[in-house]
Amino acid sequence: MLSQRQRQRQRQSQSQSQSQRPSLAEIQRRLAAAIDDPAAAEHLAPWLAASAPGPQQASPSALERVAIYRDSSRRARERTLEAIYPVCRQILGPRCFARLAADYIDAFASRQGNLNRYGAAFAYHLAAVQSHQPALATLAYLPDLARLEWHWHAIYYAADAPPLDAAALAQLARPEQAARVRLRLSSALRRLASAYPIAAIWLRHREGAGIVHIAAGDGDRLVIHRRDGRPQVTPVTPAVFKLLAALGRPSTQAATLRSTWSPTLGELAAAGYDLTPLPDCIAAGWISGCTLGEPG
Amino acid sequence: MQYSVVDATDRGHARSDDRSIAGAGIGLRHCHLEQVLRERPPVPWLELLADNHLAAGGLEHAGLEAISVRYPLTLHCVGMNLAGCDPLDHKYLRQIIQLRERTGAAWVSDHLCFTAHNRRHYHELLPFPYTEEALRHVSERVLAVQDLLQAPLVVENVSAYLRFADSSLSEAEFLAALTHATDCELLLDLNNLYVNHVNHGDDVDAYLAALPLARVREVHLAGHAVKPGYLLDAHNDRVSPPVWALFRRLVQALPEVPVLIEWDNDIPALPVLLAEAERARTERATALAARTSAAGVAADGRTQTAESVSPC
Repeated sequence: MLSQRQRQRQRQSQSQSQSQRPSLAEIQRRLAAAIDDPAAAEHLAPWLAASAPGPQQASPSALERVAIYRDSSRRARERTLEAIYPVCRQILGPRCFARLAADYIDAFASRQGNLNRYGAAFAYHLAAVQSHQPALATLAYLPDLARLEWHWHAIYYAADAPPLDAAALAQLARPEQAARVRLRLSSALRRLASAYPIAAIWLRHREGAGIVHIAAGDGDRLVIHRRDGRPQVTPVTPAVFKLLAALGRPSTQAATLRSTWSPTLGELAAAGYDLTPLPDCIAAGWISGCTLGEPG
Repeated sequence: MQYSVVDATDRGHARSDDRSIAGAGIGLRHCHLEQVLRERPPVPWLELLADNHLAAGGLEHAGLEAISVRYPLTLHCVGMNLAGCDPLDHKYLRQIIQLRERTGAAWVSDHLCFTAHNRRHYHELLPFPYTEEALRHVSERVLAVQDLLQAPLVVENVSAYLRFADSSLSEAEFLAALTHATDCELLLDLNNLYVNHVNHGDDVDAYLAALPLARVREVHLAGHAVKPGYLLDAHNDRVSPPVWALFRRLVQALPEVPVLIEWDNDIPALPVLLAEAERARTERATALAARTSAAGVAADGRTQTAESVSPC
C-alpha cells in the first residue's frame, strides 16, 4: 500500500512528467549531481517513481535509494585510494585516512572509467590539507611518501619497455658517432626527489617494522622502475638523477615532434651533463632504446 | 610471479569460439589468478572483469596470456557507459578491443546503465528511464560499439534501486526492443532479476515472458546482501535459494546456456567459488532430469510433476 505522501508524490511526478518531461541527459545530470551532493537529490526526486511495494518491510524512500548509489560510488573510489596508498593509511590511521579520502573524493572527480588511474593528485591534496591542519603539518614528509606510493602503483601498470642491450648500442654507433646518439628512458620509470628519507620510511612501514630511528640525512633522490614485473625503488646520486632528468626531457626539436627521444649525447655533454653514469643506467634497465636518427 | 610457456596441452591463441563457452564458469579475480595458473582447476571457462585488466604492460599481461592459453574466456565490462550522454570513450573501447585480441575472448558484455556524466565517472551502474528516447539513444551507442568490436555486444540487465516515473517500458521490454534494433545479445543476471523483484515488486513471469530468451548468450548468478528494507546486489555471498530456483526454471527453456558465478566483495577461497560453479552444474542437471522425468510421466497420461518455478 502506498502512503498518502507517496501517492501525492506519484501524482505530482506523473503530472510533471506529462507537462515538462526532462531529457535523458537532464535526468542523468540530476542523478549525477545527487550522487555528488546529497542536497541536490531534491532536484531529482520529482522524477522518481514512488517506492516500490515490495515484500520487504519499510522500503527505503526514494532519497534513501539515491544514497545507496552515492555510498557505493564513493566506496569504490575510497577502496581504490586505500589500495594505492597503504603506507599513508598506516601512518595516518584508518579513520584519519578515510576522512582525507572523503575530502579528496569531494574535490577530485574520477575522470576515467579505469579506476586504477584515480588518485593521482592525492599527494597534492595532502599538501593542501597540511597547510591549514597543524596536526598533519608534523608529518611534513607525507606528500612525498604519497608521491612514492603513486609512482609505485603507476609503474606496476606501465607499458612494457624491454631494456636496451649495451651491445645493441655499440653496434648502432661507432665511437665517433656517439655524440649523435639519442636515448629513450624506459616507460616503466619514474624519478622522485624529496627532502626527507622517504624510501627508508616507506620500506620500514611496508616491512611492518616497529618504531625505528631514521636519520634525516640529505633527503632522497629515487628511481622507481619496474624490472621483471616488480617495481623497485633505487636511491641514486645527484649526478645520475640529473642525467635521467635530462634524458627524459626531449630536445626542443623532439618536443615539437612529440618525440620521447632524448637530446643527443653531444648536446647533453655540451650542456655540462656528466655522462659517466650512463653505462650503469643502461645496465640497470632504465634505458629502453637508442637511435642515431633525427627525433621523430 | 613467473609464468611458464605454453605446453603441448594448451589451447594456443585461437579465439574462444562461442561453442567453447559452455557449462558453469567463474569470474576470475586477481587474488585467484596465480592459484588458477598453478592448479588448473577443471572449470570449463572463465570471465575476466575487463576493467581490472587495462594495464599497459607488466605482470598483468603475462598473467592474462598464460590464462588465455589454458581457458576459454569472456570479457565483462563496466565502463562503456552505454546509456550515458557523454561521447563514447574510444580510448577505453580500443583498450577493450586490444584486450579481447590478446586474450581471444569469445564475447564482450556490459550493462544497461550509465556510469559517467559530463566526464565525471561514478564507477556505479546507474539507472535511467526506459523511454523511447532512451531506446533510440542506447541503440545508436550499441551499434557504434558493435561496429568497433566487429561482433555482437552482450548487454546485461542490472539491479536498480531507483525507478523513474517517466519509464514507459519495463527493463525486459527495453532489452527486447534493443536486441531488435541492434541485434545485440543478452546477459541475463538472475540475481539482478531477483533483487529487482524484491526491491520493486517486478513480476518475474512477465519479465521472462517479455525477454527474447533466444538472445540470451550467458547467465550470471551471484549473492546479494540483505539490507534494512531492500536487497543489495553486493556480489559478496553464495547464490541464494530463490536465485537457484530461478536458474532451475530458466534452464527448462535454455538447457545449454552458459552460466557464470560472480563474486566481487569478501571474495572467498577459490574452492568456494568452484563449489558454486559445480552446484550450478548439478542444479542444471537435476532440473533437466526432472523435466525429462515429468515429460515421461505426462506421456504415460498421469499427473505432471515438474518442480514449481516460483522463485520466492
